[in-house]
Amino acid sequence: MRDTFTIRLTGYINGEEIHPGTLDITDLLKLLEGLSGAIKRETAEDHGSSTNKTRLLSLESILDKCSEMTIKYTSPARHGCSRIENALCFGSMESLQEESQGKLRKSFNRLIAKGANLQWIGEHVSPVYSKENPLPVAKGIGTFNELSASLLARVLKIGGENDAAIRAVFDATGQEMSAKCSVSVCKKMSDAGCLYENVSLLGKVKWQVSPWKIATFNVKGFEKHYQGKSSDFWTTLDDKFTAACDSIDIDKHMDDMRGEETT
Amino acid sequence: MSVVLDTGALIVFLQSNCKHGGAEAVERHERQREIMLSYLDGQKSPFIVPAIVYAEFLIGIPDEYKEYLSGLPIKFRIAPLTERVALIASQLKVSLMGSKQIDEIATTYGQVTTNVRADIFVLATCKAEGNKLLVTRDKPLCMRAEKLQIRCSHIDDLPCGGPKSSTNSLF
Repeated sequence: MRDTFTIRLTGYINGEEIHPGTLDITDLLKLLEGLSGAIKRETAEDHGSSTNKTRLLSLESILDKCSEMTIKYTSPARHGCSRIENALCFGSMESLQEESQGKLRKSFNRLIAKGANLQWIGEHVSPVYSKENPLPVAKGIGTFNELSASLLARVLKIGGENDAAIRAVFDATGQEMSAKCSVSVCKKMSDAGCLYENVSLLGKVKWQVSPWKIATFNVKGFEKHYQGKSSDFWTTLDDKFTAACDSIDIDKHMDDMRGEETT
Repeated sequence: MSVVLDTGALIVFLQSNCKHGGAEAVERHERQREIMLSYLDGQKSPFIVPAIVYAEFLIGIPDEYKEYLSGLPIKFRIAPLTERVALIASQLKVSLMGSKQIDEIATTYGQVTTNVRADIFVLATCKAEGNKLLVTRDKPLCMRAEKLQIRCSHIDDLPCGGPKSSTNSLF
């Protein structure tokens, strides 16, 4: 996979002809400046102190944010660029989350509407997008919002560099991803020693359907579990409670509940 | 890798002494409990208890102890019956017997309608949790799980020595 990519711009922007050719990434950054708040922020952070290389990475990270809310643990920008490349070069907008499809289309269409023609040049080369040849239409992925989710996850990181978040491996899907989490919940999780433990995370999930995958997760709370061996757990229980459990006639109870055949 | 416990299996886990059913039942309980603990000790994740299973368990104990576990860090995770589980349950019902109604399915298995409904919610939770292994004492439930390609094991058939470690485990 390539480390760099280019977006070729031709035509006019605000009536001013763009010099045909391949834009340097720094110039591209200037052109894209103002298209979104994220780009503005990144540009401001880079101002004055960054090299071309860090600007390139910065732009990649911007596009990565546009491509998906989940930042991959390794090489996040590459994943983001790869998905954008699929969308632009092969017309497969499904490679992007619905929200990201909208952001990508909005950003590019604003330049196209001003008269520019755009072409992505990376590992693959996209068609030239213009008013006559617009970007591929956004396609629905099929999502399902769950307001009261509880997901078992192994917590790998609590807190984030920019926004409060946690990073975890989710048991239900095997995904390792970041999830939004308020500062107060992050602090509580840290104080409760949740790092590297399996905890139940409670909150709102946006699922991608078929196959089921977590698209976004907004963590609102958590539950910590007993960490010892299963065989030791019942010894921690109150004697009266264990006596109550012992009093259950299991065969009769299960027959009452579900007509269970226990033989 | 977490496993999902059905009601009978949860009671076997929590019940240290079986006091009912005579010597044969006590012997079976002890054997099943030994198998389960041997199996569950091998895993680091808490095991999963569907909310409907937890409800069935609570029905079996006196009122004064019903809230006792809620204050403890418990070894099992109570998986709530969420919107997604409800959606999966509705899909499983269709997969299970096509257009047949729940009472027809129950008749097929010689059970009452409510039992089948409970089973479907247990199976839907297994699927929602990532198709986890369901551990049960209920043979008809095993048959239904097999038909829906949901992993299920009767307690007696659990392998000794615990589950294989998860590929997600870091330590």
